[in-house]
Amino acid sequence: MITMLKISKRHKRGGSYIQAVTDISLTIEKGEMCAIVGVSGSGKSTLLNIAGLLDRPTSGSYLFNDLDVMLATNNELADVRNRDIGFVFQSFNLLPHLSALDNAALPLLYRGISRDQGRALAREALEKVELDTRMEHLPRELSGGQQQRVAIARALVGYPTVLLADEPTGNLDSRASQEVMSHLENLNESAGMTLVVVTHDPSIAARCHRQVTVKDGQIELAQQLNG
Amino acid sequence: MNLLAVGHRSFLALLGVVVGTASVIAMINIGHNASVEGLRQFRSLGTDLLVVRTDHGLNGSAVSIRLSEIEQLRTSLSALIVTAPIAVSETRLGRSGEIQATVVGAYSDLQEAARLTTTVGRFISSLDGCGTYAVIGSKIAEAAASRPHRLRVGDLIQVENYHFTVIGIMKEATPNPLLPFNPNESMIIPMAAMRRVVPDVGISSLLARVAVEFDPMLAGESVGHFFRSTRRTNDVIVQSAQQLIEGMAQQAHLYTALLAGVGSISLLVGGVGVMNVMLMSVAERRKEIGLRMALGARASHIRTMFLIESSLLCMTGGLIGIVLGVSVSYAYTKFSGWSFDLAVASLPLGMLLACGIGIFFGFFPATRAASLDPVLALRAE
Repeated sequence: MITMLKISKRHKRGGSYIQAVTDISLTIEKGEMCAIVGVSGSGKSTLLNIAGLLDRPTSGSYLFNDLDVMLATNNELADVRNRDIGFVFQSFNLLPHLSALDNAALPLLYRGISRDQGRALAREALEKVELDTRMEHLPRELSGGQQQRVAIARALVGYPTVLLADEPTGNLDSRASQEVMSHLENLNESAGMTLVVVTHDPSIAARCHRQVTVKDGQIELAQQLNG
Repeated sequence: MNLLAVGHRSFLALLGVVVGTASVIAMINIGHNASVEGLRQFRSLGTDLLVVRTDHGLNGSAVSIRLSEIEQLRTSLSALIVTAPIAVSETRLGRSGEIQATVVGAYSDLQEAARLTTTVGRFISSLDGCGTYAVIGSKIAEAAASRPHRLRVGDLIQVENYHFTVIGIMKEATPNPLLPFNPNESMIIPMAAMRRVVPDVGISSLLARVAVEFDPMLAGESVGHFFRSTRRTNDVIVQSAQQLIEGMAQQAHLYTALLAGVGSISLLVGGVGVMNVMLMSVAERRKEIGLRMALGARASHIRTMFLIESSLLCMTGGLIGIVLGVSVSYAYTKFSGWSFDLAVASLPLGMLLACGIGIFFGFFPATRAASLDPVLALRAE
């Protein structure tokens, strides 16, 4: 489902180039729960951004399901992001002026779904993360863990094929972290959702089937844990 | 909307749009009402009216036109169908001189020339000779009535040491600055009688009507030329209704140009203000934009979102501006003594302009927003 071949990415900083990722080849199968581990600056976030079609590789090839990312237009990438990819960020990234319900429904806005229909689907998604009692609350009225669960609901609302999480527990206490990880694991096990989790926390990585370590923009090891 | 959060910045941008729209609306409505008013006076007296007045002589003394000149004018200019000479003087009427009025000595042709009508009785005729007969204006009739009766034909009215018999009461007429007297506040008496009441006053004005097939302006020039050449002086002024209307139109155009200038500048400033507000809004919401893109918003979605916001801001300003502009033009017309006629087309035009400003000046910020790199935007502050 995610097939990356010799992906490289360099950024322009000032007048020179910085190599973020060099010649990475990575394949993630449907239903996998994969952790991408590395220290800050290792290139793991860049890898996730490329995987999530938010960024294009400078060279190499990337096949997302049937889509050749290198040849796709920006609009095509946006549409695939909307339909097939769910993002969960470290800092939640909920819109502060929208309720939990409207935040969860946000991706559906760009699918041309009516507001009422979108809200119905968002309600279902919030039920899955056990937040249906707080649908009308604003983000500032929710705890960190609750906000992240709203973000997960938002990521799920359009029934994507893959969920990409960038340090999902980074801003949460241990209890909330456990809850969030449980939800994610549950999604993977019961719904067969493909999961890619970027983390620097080994305990989080240990909960995933597979662990890929990134160092200095390259893949070091491709470990398999827990079959 | 998000713009409420931006608060006072939006308000300032809004103000520019409000003033700009208000100016444009006011300009169109005032211009429209000015021409409507001109048309009204136009219709009441007609464009074929010429008024010849005497200016004061070089030594400041009153100057008059001789009947012989008028006769000569009648025969030499075929363009004139009516020439009504009048002698005008201010006086006081009533037993104790309590009513201020204008006494107009005239001939029967004044009726046609000034389009005067009587509600009761008759106008003066050539058979009246130097008799003390008077045709009274509507306001004088009211003032001279001995309550509770109304003034009637046959009643007497005192002027200087004379008692005049009322032979007719005139219908209320639209006052017109072209006429040398206000019919509503005048008493018209036979010219010969005038010489008895105010002996030292001569013919001060001449009212003439131009035949349909002639151009009133050209006819007016001919009349002016006639008097200048026969009197060899410049003490006679010829005015035409057309001149007056054109004068009014010129004034209206001046106001229109002035307001158009203010309006355009103001709208432009308003537009720049809107662009500024939108640019700041885009900058502050980079993270939000990046997030929306991550969730699948296309560049076009982002651009549309910001264009709608700037348009809504301007539409609000436009709405307020329209209300303000109509109020200002209403006040202006009332102050000028006109009746208010709304230029209906100005309303959608004002709205269109405001929206246009919103889209035009919102385009750059919206495009900026749409071209943000999602990864960088998500990393913002």
